[in-house]
Amino acid sequence: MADTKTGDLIAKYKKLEKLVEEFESGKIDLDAGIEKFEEGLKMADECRKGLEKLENKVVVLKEKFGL
Amino acid sequence: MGSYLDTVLTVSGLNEMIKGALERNTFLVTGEVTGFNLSKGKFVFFDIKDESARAGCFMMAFRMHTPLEDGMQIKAVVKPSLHVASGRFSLTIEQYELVGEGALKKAFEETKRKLEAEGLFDPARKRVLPRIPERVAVVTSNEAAAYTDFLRIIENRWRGLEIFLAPVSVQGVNSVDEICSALRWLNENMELDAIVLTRGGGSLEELQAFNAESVCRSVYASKIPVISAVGHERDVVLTDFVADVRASTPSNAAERLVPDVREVIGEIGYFVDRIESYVRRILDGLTRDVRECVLRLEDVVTSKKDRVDEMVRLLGAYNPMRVLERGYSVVSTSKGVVRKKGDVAQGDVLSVRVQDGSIESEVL
Repeated sequence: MADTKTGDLIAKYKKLEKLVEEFESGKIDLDAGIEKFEEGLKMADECRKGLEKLENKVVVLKEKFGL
Repeated sequence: MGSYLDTVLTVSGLNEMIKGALERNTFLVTGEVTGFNLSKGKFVFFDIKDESARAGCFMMAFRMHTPLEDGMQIKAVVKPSLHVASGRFSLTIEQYELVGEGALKKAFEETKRKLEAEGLFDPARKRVLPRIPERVAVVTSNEAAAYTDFLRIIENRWRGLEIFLAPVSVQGVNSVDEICSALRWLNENMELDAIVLTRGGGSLEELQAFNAESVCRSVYASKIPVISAVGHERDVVLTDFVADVRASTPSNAAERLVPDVREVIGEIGYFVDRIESYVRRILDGLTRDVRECVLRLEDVVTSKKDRVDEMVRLLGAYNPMRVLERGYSVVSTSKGVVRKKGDVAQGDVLSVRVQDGSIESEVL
């Protein structure tokens, strides 16, 4: 599922959420922090752009249901 | 049918022929259930009647999707048949639905009681939908307004969802079978985040498929979480109790299924803010630490300076030049400083050091 565009987006969103948790739990020192901060900004940007570009898709199943 | 006078048939032969002829037909009939009997838990027998006639009916118990009782009015798809040995005429029920509020309300209460007792409504088994779904199926009629309403709200709110429509009848004698079949097929053939079971508003009669026991059991058996969104806000059907989520309308189902893309974009901004403020806090903390160190250094330097000043003052007090200024003198000979009378002999040359120079003299 992660290789679809939406799956990709969801994965990035979750990574970003986890990054925020890591920061706020105090586990990150300053050196690592600057790098992760930049990484976080990049992911946020990609998420936002991704959301603007995605489209919904509708498929009508050809299967006939019933006995 | 016609005249078959060429051959003389036995009774068995005749009954077989008539049975064959009868079973080629299907009829739709309405009437009242009477003499209902469940035999060995497997076979259902009852008569269907109107004011002036009746006919015996038969159905397999597992095909009874909604409970039947004496007095209920039903509409049924029937195939006439003849039992060869007894010559008895009967109708085989292929599909049926209840007619009239009385029957429907009774069936609703009975099914609700039964399913609740079995634990199908248990809140503990209701699964949580993923916050951001990728693939969902909608089980509904593709002509229904419910379907277009649902799609429209999805379009307004979200992107990147794959929606599969499983078209079924949402009312009428075939609806129960079609809905059960669709739910089963989706579970067996597709990977989905959710199934939306939906239709628009209608009378109790029109919504009855969603109160059918077999539809409820299919919803319960679904490994994929099910959203039940049937009718209007005030319509309550049994699938609402069994499903993982009850939505009040098809539009509400769309709202429960996907987040609002604007909200998610806002959340991402909020994540960034939180990271930023945390980094700033660290930096502020470090700046504070550096400033504290500088202040402490300054303290150290100042106190050392004070110490040095003090020592200079003390040294000053011990300066020999001060002593001379007070009138003391240092007397020395060629041998060194004179401290005692015995250090000098008659005729020795003395050098008397005073504050501004030396005086030469001789010991008498």
